[in-house]
Formats: sequence, structure tokens, C-alpha cells
Amino acid sequence: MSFAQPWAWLWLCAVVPVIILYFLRRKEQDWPVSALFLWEGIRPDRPLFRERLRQRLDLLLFLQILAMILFAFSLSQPQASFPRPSGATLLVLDGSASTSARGMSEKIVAAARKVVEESAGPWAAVLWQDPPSLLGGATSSREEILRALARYRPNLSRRPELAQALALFPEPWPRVVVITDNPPTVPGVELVVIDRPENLAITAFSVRPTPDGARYEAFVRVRNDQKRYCDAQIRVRTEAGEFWTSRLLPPNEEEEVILPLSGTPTQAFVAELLPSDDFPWDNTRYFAFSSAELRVAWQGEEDRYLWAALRAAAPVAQAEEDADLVVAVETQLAEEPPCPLLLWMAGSPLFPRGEAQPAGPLRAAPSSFLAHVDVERFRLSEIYALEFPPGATVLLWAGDLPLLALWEGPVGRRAVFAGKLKTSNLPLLPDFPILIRNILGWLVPPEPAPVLEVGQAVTLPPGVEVISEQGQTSGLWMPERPGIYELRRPAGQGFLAVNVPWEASQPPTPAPPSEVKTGEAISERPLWPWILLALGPVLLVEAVLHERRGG
Amino acid sequence: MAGPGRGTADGSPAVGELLSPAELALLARTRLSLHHPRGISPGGHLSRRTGASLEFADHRPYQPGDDLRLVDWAVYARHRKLVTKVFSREVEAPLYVLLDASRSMGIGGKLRFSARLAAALCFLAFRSGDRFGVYPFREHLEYQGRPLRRKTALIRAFSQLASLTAEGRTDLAGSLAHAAQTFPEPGLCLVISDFLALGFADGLKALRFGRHSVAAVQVLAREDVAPALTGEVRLWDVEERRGKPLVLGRSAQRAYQEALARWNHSLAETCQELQVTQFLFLAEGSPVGAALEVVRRWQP
Repeated sequence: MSFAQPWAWLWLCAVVPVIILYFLRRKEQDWPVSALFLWEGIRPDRPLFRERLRQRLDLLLFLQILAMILFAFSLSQPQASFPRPSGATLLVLDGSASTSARGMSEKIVAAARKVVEESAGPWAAVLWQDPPSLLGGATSSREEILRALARYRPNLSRRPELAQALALFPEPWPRVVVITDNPPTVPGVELVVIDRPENLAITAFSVRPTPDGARYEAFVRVRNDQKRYCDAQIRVRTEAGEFWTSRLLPPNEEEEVILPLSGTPTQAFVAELLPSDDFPWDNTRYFAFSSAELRVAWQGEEDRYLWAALRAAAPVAQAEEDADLVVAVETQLAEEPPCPLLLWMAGSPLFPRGEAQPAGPLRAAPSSFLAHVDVERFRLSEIYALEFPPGATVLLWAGDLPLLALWEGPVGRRAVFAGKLKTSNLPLLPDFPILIRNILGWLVPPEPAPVLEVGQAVTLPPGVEVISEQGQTSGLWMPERPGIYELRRPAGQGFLAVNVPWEASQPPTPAPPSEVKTGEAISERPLWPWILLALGPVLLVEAVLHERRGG
Repeated sequence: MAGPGRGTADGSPAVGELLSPAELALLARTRLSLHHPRGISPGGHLSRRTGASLEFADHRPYQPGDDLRLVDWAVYARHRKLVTKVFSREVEAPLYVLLDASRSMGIGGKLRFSARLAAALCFLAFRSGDRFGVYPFREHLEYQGRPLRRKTALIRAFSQLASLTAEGRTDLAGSLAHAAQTFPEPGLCLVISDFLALGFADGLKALRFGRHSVAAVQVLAREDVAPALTGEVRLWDVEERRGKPLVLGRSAQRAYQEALARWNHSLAETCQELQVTQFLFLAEGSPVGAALEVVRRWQP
């Protein structure tokens, strides 16, 4: 504050004439007398100063002086000093699924604004969701960071580790304020915990066929995070119909419900919990059975070790037509099949097989296909000599001959194993099914799991498409909303169930005690708007009082 | 309703407004009267039967035509002069209550006190069988007719006193002179006023010249005697409608009290000169006590 403002002094000096005018004004009281002639000739007394002062002390005078002082005070541009946490502040705003509840966004942004108002800056803001994103870069402008906070939008995905959000800035921040509804147990950060609204949720939903295969059973776990008993209704919808049940849920408790579902077999299920609440996304959960079965066309000799390894790697079934994979064992194919092909000691027109030769020492090229496979334990005596087209990738060598190679061409993917399995210990090692799973995963990429979470990116196999709100999607797909999505593939229709993360329905963990100490800085804010605001009621009271006294 | 003989007056509302039943009972029990006994009969009043008793008053020289039976032969035998005996017939004197009802009487409850005092005196007169009448005055006298002794007169007087309001100015001299001319016969004139008006001497003199026996009852309020206000005041004469600004302190109050004392002293001198009995009461006192004081001290 500074009283070096001439206008403030001038206005303050105007108080003096007001007081003088009040003192000069006669303040007489009417006094009726019976005989005025008795008072004639009586000399007036000199009034005491105290008496004069008492007669002139008027509420109107007080109000007028107060108004003038307030106005002069506001003209002096006073500043109020507030101690604020000093140092740069990184705001981490939780934007995961649980913050999508009604009213949570406003509370989180308000808390962030409060932190900004009470700190000295500079600031930056990070949206803590999957994937983390930057709301506002480092800035010393309070207005800029407040504008950045307005861009806060939560989604329905899982929350990654806090370190991922903090990794958006290469340099550590001296002060990190995490605004969340579910405080993490990360040391060195300040926590601003926002209370969640009361929630009623389905925390688990699954469907299984009964042992006799005649019908299904729905398993639903519901949770009441309200402070009162709740008469909840649970509805499971299938293509065959709706199935209802109800439970009286005690406060802050979970209950499991097994609901028998009759009717024709179906693949997609929807469980709903009524009544709805402020976080409706966990009042509905989705489930779908996996319909992906790998159809294998077997050619050549039988190999029970290989078949067992294939079954361990994926749900496989032998098929004569429309196969997803052709497996050729100890044979020479006459033509190339137009689908992925596993040549197991076999040849094809692209990979002609030669005679068996003694195998040299095994050596491996670094590759992810050999993950968790200990090549040194392999023993092999004989190997077929094979010719490879250009572009083949050799993963294993037996001396100078390729033992395991991969190739991808216009006709599809090819995996070739040239070792003579009968002269090897490979089928007896636990590395064998691992190796087969790795190869199969490349030859025929697996379909995604039938139950996903929002924000969980999946790679769709070639020829498989998801029908979503955005249309048909192939390749990489990341669901943004919960629901049942149709899966289109050559082998037929399937379904994907997408839910909000289960963690969003769980009660938050209690906040750990904060031991973070922050420095303080003095910042100043102008007070004149508040003073002018206080001036209004004073003038109003003065006007009303003056009016009541008859103007 | 009880008659005068039973000690109560009337149950009309006006009576209740002016005097409480306890005050009426107190007045009824007293044996005081404005006409004091002069005979030998103990406790009795003067007879008011006209023609029933003649009392020697004086002698005057005999004039031809006088009744020879009235010649005082004893005086003739002693002084050889013919004188005629003159008898005076004692007649009853009515009570005239002259009440100041000007605006100045409204200050400090003076009018209320005066009305109650007048009511008490009227009641005493009624109890004694005297004739009485109430005559308010402001700038003029409001003549209400001849004084009467009937109960209806008491009711009328009470109603009149209860409805009095303080208004108008005081013309003390003119009103009393008018009364002296208007009243049909000499009587007991009780003038109730604050006497804070010029011309009271002329008024009292006019009443005395009218052969009335006069008593001046001065009623003052506490505000008149000792004004409690200090500071800057605007004195406002309620009758004259004019004001005077004054800074009122202790010395000014003292000067006013001295002026009032001088004024009352002049009133007392005038009353003494005119053989008028003077009373001074404060309006905050008891009007019944004041009435008994008047009856006790006034010797018409």
C-alpha cells in the first residue's frame, strides 16, 4: 500500500470539512415552555465541548466519514500481502475413470485453481490418465495456467503409474501437487484428495457355462459405497432375454450374486445395477465369450508332441477347409497354401526340402521369438537341407544350415523348422511349447481377449475388424467407451466386451500422511476492489438512514 | 348508583377517569366543607334556608318610611338618635371553579391535575349540598350556566372536566373579568391556573370587585419549576407560537428559576393585597390532597 497517491490524500482531506460542517450546524432541541417571557433576558451559557460533541455525534456522520475513508483508502491502491508456497509447482490432475463421476471434474479443477492462487509459481499441469498428457507447460503466468486447467477432461481409462505422468518433464519439479480422488502412495508429493461421490457399482462380472452345458451362470459382485442400505436390482441381459434379481446391500459392503441364465447359448452379456448414481459407468458391466478357435489343417505325418504344443499355445481344432493355419509334418507340399504355413521337417514349392544331413552346433540369432527359450539345452543330430527364398529370417542355425527360419510373402507367413525331431531332445524340453507358442503367435496373431478395459490398446489379427462408433476398425484398436463391440472375421462373428477399469469401482485408499515441506514467498494482491465492494453497503445504509430522517 | 347521602357520586365513566373509587371514598369520608360552621351547633353548617333566620348586621340612620319596629329604641334611649336596625340574611354562596385550559396547561400534566382537583372540589361541594359549576377559560370564559347542586350538575361537571383538552391561549384578565360580570351572584371563585400569563392581577381584582371570595390555585409542572434540559435548545412558547434559541446550562437554569420566583412573588403580593387566598401545587402531586388542602385553608 502506498499513500503517495495525491488523489487519496485530497479525498481524505475532504473528511475535515465534513466534520467541521457537522460541528457548525446547530443542533437544537425543541423545548416547549409555558411562559417564554420568563426566559427573556436570560444570557445563554457557553456550551461545554463535550456537550456539543455529544449532540453532534451522529450515525450519518460516522457513515459519511467511513465512506470517504474507504474511498480514499481504495485510491491509495492498497495491497495485501499473503504468504504463499514458493517454488515451481507441478500440478498433476487425476483424469482416470473414477474422476468422470458427476461433479468431480469441477472439484478437481477448483482444487487446482486454489493451489495456483495460493502459490507463487511458476506452474505446469499434467493430466494423469492413460496416456498422460500435458495440460499446460511451465509458465509464470497465472492466467495462462488457469486457462490450461480449463482444458482438463477425464476419460474412462485406467490410471498409469504416477512416474509416467511425471516423466513428461525431464527435470524434476521441486513441488508436485497431485489432485486425485485415490491418493497414490508415492513419497515426496503433496496430495489434494477430492472426495468421491457415493457409489453403487458392479465390481466383477463373469459368465460361465454350467457343467452340463445346458445353461449359463452369471457371477455378479456388487458393492455399495453409500452410507445407507440400498435396495439394488441386478439385471443381466442376453440375446435370449433379461434376468432379474435384487439384493439389500449394507453400506460399504460387497455382495456376490450368482444368477442362473437360461435360454439359447449366447456370446455377449450385459449386467446392470439399479438405481443409477453419479458414476454410472460401473453400474453396467459387459462380458463376452471368446469365440476364437484356431482352425488347423494338418498335412503329413502325425506328431503328438507338436499337436500338444499347439494346443498348449492356443485353442486349436483340426479342420479340412477354411483353415487359419496349415501344418505340414515330414512331407513335401505340392502347392503353397494361401494361408499361414508351419513347415515342420517339411517342404513346399517355396521351401524345397533336401536330404537329411548331420547337424552342426546350434547357434541362435538374437530374436524375441526365442524369448524364454534356452537354445543351449537343445540336442540335434540330423537336419534337412532347405532352400529359402530371399527375405527369410533365420533364427537358429545348426552349423551352416538354417534350423528355424521365418518368412513373410504375398501368400502369407511361413515358419520352417528343418531339424529332424526324432534325433532331437527338443520335444522333451519345456522350451518346446514356448518356442511353438512364440512361432504361432507370429504366424497367426491371437485375437484380443474377449473382455477389455477402456483405453486398453489391442492388435487385431489380419482380416479381423471391430465395429465401433467410428465405424470399422482393423489393426490397432483402442476402445474409448465401455460396451459390447462386434468383431468381424472370416471365421464368423464375435464380440468384445469393454468395461471401465475395476479399480474405478473400488473405494479409494486412505491418503498417506504428507511430510512434504514447502517454502513460502510473500505475494501481494490488490485490495481496492474489495474496499469498493464494502463501500456499497455503507452508502446504501447512509442513504436509507437519510431518507428515513425525512431527507 | 348512590346518592350524596351515601357517600358516592355516580358510576359514569367520567367519574372513573378523574377520581378513583378509593379517592371518592376518601373525599366522602371527610367532613370538611367550604362553608365553615359559625354557630353553636357543633359540627353543623350554616343554615341555607332563606328567610328562616335573620342576623343583625348594622345600624343606619332612620329614614322616613322605615318600619318603626326596626327602630332600635335602646340606642335612642342612650344616644337620643333614631337608628334603624339592619339585618343581613345569610344566603348560600355557590362555588365557581374557573379552570385554565390553555395550551400551557398541557405541559407536564397540569391540566390533568387541575381537572382532577376541580373534580374533587366539585364532589366536596356536592357532598355538602352546595351549588357549584365548572367554567373553563382560555381566551374567553366558557359560561356553562348557573351553578347547581343536583347530581346531574356533578355528572355534567365531571364529563366536562374529563373532556377538557389543552388548547388556545390564555387571557386571564379578560376571562376573569368576564366571569365577574357574568356570574349571577357573588360566590366562591376558585381560579385554577398556572398563572404564567400577564394580567392575572386585573383578573383577580375584577373578581374581588364582583364581591366574590377568591382563591388562586397555581399549578406548576416539574418542567416549569426546574427544567432538566441542558445544551442547545429552542424554547418554544406553546401559546404564543414563538421560539427563542438558547444554550441552556446551570447558570441559565438558575436565572430562570430566579425569574419564576420573582413572578410567583408578585402573584403572592397581589393575592395578599386583594385578600385572595393563594395555593401552589405541583402537577405531579395528589389532586385529592390538594383539594383537601384548599378546603382546609380557604376561609371565604
